[in-house]
Amino acid sequence: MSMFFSRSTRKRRSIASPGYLLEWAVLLTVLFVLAQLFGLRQFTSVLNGTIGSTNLNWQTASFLGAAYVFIYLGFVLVVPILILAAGILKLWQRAGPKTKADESPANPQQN
Amino acid sequence: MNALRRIFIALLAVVIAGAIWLPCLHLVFTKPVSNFRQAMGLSPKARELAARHLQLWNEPELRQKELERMRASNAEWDFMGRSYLVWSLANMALRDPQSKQVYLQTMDQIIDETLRLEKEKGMYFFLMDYAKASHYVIKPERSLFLDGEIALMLASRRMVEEKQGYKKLLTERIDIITQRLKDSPHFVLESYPDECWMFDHCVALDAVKMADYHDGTDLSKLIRDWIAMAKQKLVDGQSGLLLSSFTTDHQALGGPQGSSLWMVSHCLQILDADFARDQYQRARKQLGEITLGFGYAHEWPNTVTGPANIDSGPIVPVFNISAGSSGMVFIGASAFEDDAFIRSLNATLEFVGFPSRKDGRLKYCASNQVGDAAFLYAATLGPLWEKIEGGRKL
Repeated sequence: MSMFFSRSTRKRRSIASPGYLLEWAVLLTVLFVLAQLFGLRQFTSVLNGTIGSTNLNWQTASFLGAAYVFIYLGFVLVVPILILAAGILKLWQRAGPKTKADESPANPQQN
Repeated sequence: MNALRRIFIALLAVVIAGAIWLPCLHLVFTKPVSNFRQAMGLSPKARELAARHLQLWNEPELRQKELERMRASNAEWDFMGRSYLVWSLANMALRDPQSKQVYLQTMDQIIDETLRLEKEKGMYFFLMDYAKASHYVIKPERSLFLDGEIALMLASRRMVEEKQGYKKLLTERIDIITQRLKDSPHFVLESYPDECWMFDHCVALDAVKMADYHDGTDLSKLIRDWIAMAKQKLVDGQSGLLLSSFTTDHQALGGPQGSSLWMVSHCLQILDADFARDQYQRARKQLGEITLGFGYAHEWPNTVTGPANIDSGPIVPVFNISAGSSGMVFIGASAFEDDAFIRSLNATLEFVGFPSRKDGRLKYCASNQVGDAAFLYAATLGPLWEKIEGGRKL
């Protein structure tokens, strides 16, 4: 995931850094916005057993509906948690003693 | 070791963040009860839902598309969507007399089209396919599901304003229901072959009660006798809840089911108010839940197990949340003015109902026309029942 955002001049973020958590939050938000723009919300009628569109077969409509539900839950449940966790980590890093790992090249930016 | 320590700290931060966020999540979706239902007038949600339904009945192409989607799964939903909308519009006309003519026009349109379809295509048009798989026990074959809901549609329309053409139609339908009930060996009627539903009996008896109000008949003894029989023979022994479906000789088919019990308790309000409240309270205790501020309902009490079906809708594992019961519970909670529960149910609806608002119209994408019509009914119910309880029309 971090590679998705990384630039060639920048080394990978540590998976335990606030920046890494924020990157995930941004990716999930972008996914949600795209799902919303493509109108996938309409397909969630699969939740009550009604096909989302009579132009698509059941399997496709169900897949799109399920995909939207997961993306939506990612946005509503996971994104705020990731942002809060990034904030908590940042506070922890500021308050706590710096370790060698915090200063290591593998972790150049602790956003 | 340092890397492990940092991962552990990151995970701990995620856990703490989750512990902060999850209990707060419902606050994002919680709205005052008045957003859903109001004692007088129409709530904002009722107006938005109604606008969408009126649009469907004004735009035939849009309606056809919506009905096709539902009928692909269940022909019943097409019929029930009509019933709930007519009952809602009757309540709305009593709440909002200025818009009465618009509501009456749509009610008449729905009733006339439904009667036409029933006449032209037969009762099976609005029933699921398995209705044709075997024979009805009581002859000639009829479905109380259709007779009861059509009668209640006609009676509700007449509660708003008398229409002579519907008076005869209601009388005919009530005569059929009551005569068949009296003639039936065990005082119950089928909706599907050898399959009787509590929901359909209570709806039909509400129509009988309304016909008494309109036309000065007195079928109160039949209603009392039926309720007495149901209390004696159609109650699940362990939960004390009414059975949802049973055979023509009173054998339980599916136990008490939330997807029908909430409406049953509401229908009972004008038939036997104390029994109605008892059923709601039992159902609320055994089927209703609030977790982290979100309300929902189970399909079955703990003492009964059953597979997910067309009525229960999909069941969310772990929490045993039934989509069908969680939708219909709005009707029970609204009928019994259970405001704390309505608030939490409404939060759930806004969270996972996937509302879609456009030009003052609201639909829930995770629902369908019949589901939205049931929400509209929950948001508007009250005046019809109050009028009945007020006594006979003079």
